[in-house]
Order: sequence, then C-alpha cells, then structure tokens
Amino acid sequence: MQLRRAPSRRTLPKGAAFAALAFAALLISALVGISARVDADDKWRLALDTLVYADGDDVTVVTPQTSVRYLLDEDGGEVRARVGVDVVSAASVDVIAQATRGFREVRTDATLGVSKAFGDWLPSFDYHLSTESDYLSNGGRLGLRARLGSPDTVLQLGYGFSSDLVGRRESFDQQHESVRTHRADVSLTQALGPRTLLRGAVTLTARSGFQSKPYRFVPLFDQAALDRARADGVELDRSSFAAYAINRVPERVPDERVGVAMAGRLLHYVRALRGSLRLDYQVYLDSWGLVANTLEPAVTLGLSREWSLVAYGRVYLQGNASFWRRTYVVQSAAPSPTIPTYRSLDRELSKFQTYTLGARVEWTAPDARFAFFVDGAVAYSHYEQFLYLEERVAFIGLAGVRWTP
Amino acid sequence: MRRCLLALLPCLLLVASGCATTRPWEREHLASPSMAPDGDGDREALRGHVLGTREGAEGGFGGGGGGCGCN
Repeated sequence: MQLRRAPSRRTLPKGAAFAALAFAALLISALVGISARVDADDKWRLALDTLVYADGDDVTVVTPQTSVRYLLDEDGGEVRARVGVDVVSAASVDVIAQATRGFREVRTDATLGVSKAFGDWLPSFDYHLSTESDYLSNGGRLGLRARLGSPDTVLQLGYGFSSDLVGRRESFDQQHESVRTHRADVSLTQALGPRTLLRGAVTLTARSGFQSKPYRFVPLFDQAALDRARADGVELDRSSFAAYAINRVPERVPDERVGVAMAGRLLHYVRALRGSLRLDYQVYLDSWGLVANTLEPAVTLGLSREWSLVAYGRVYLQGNASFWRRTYVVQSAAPSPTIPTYRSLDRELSKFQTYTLGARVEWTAPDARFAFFVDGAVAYSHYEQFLYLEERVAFIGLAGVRWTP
Repeated sequence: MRRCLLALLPCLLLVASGCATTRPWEREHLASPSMAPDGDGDREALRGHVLGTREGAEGGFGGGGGGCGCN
C-alpha cells in the first residue's frame, strides 16, 4: 500500500476535532440556556436506540445511540445532540481473504445541530464527527426548509461538506490520506389533497481523494492461470483463487466520484387502515458507471390509539462500476506486466441485488410523552460477480424509546 | 428515456404545487404520524447508516454514504 504522509495543512488531529466538538457543545448549551430563560416549559425530547446487525458472513454490529433535543419553537426549531457507537466484530470473507484474522473495532459518531424558525423559513446547521482507529470524518451541513405560501408545499435545500482522513490503524497518526465530500440536496413536498403527499428529492454528491480501502489487496491472474484453472475444472472463488493468483496489489479506484440520486415518495392515508401506504422509488447514477434502482413499499396500520404496525419491503438492484471485474487479468508474458489502472474488491461496487422484508411495532402513550418501537428485518443479497461471496442473509434489528420528561 | 422522465420529477412537483390547497380543517390525516414524510430522525439516521455502508448508491432517501470506514 502506498499511503503517503499527508501535508500538515490537510490533517486535523483528533484532539482538535474533539476540541471543536466541545466548543460546539458549549455553544449549544448557551443557546439552550437562553431559550430556557425565555420559556421554562418542558421541551426536552430524549431518544435511545439500539441497532443490531448480524449476517451470515460473520459480521456483527451493535450500535447504541442516544439523542437529546430541546425545542425552540413549534415549527421545527430545536437544539439537538446525538451520539452513537458502532461496535463491530467481523471475520467476513473480505477480512479472511486478506489472510488476516477477524477484528473488533469501535466507531464513535456525534452530531450537534441547531435550527430556528423565522416565519415560514427554518434554517439549520449540523456538525458531524465520526472517529475510529483508522478513519476520521469532520463535516457540516447547512439546511433551509421553507413553506411556499401554504403548508401544502414545502421546499428543503441543503449543502454539506466533510473532510475525512483514512489510513491504517497501526499507523494512522503518522500516515493517512484525505477525502473531501460536497453534497447538495433539494426536495419538494407537495400535498396533493387532504390524504396524499408527494415528495421529490435530488441529491448531488461529489467526492475527491483516496477512496480505496487501505487493507484491501486485489488478486491478479494471467491468462495461463485462468486456463489452468479451467483445465483443472475449478471455478475461481474464495477457496480456490489463491492457488491461481500470480500477485496481489493494493486496491485502487478513481480519485473523483460524482453521483446523483433522484427519488420520489408517495404517501396516501387510508381511513380503513387508520394508517398510510407509502411507495418510494429512487435511481442513482454516478461517474464510475454505477446505476442503482431502489423500490420501497410500506404500509402502516393503526391497530389502536396506542399501537401501530408498519410492514415494509425494499428491493435494491445495482449494476457494477465500469472498472469492476470478477477477476483482473494481466499479460504476464509482456516485458512489463500491465496492471489494470483501477481494480477493486469492494462488493458494493459489484453487480448485486438485495431484497429486504421487515416490520415494526410502535406504541405511543395516550399523552404522547412516551413511546417505543421494535423493528426487525431480514435482507437477502445476491452478488453476481464477487469473487469471495455469492449470497448473504442479514438480520437487522432496531429498538428505541422516545421520552418527553 | 427513463432518465429523462425521472429528471422531470421535480418539474412535475412544481406544477403540482399549483394544483392543491388544503384547508386547515382538511389536514387531520396529513398531520397523522404515519404521514410524516421525514419519519423519525434518529431512527432514519441509524437506518441510513446501515444502508450507506452496504449499498453503492447514496443520497436520495437512502444512506448518506461515506463519513466512515465502515465497509
């Protein structure tokens, strides 16, 4: 791997990041203090959530998350803080195929934000920090929500920027690369009648910098090795590829990536259900040639005044990035073997489909001061071109409580 | 062709914005929690994180992508 020592002006030591976070916390505390003097009513909102992810590829993630909100007004103005921790345990084929043992890692994620209503306008700002042993992300987002003449039409605009550092955990403080992301989004929500809402959204993302995974090495094959495998009656997969690979080189993907996502959401209230039907559709295209379509229907049933049930599905269909290959072949007979400029083992850049089915039960107290939910989903993924894995079944569980003290 | 139609979606929404006006007393169902177009922010953040690390697409109603070395 050729991680270079990043210029000092591009680096942001973790200490500085935490100092920025502490400063932001003090600023928000001051804002809350001011608001508390203005209106002493109980306006706190507390939320506790835990996500559990486990799949058949030996990956387990447990993510507890807590958030605190203080309402500044009745139109979405609030001060908010959210902290989450990912505890990841992985011995997946991605890890094992690199001839390394499984790992256990902790990622901490924090968001601080504030929004304040001015008539029909709601500007907002959020600061985000994510830190782990080999990755550091700092970012912010400016947003604006506006009612266009009536509550029937709501426009939302946003611009976000993040500056990330990526490296290897054993040498992160000394060597790392940078990634910068710009993201602009716009959405328009329109009431089409007393029971129907339609939302359209467009997100434009531009990312530049080191976007490969520093731990990933891509096996290379020559035509002779492939011919030999064919003669042996072997189909290359995670158990057989090592015997035929002639070399492994660090993963490398283009430094620039620009993507656009266009999404539509239709919500319709159905009296007979005492709930709603929702249909989401989204298409994503990017400069790496990746195209993905997502369809997500959901139905919400009002079982009683307190209880509701949400059933949902999700179909995700993705094509491969233009430089993606199941096996990367070099001409080893040439005087100097030609290695493909871009090569990747990121299965999220390969052609695959994921089908998800899930359900959520929600309970809200009659006075709406306490609520909880439990959500469970099963996702099946089929990878058509990934050398190490053909399919994966994952369980995603999520539970949370909401409390207004 | 399909891409062109999708690109027209925001335009159609703008056109639709001139089509409907609900009275305050007609907004009972629109105010139902099941009709909230944004959903629960904390829950959506976790959901977006799961999707963003396991799908190549980002933005829209899905995960944000990036921001961590998660996959």
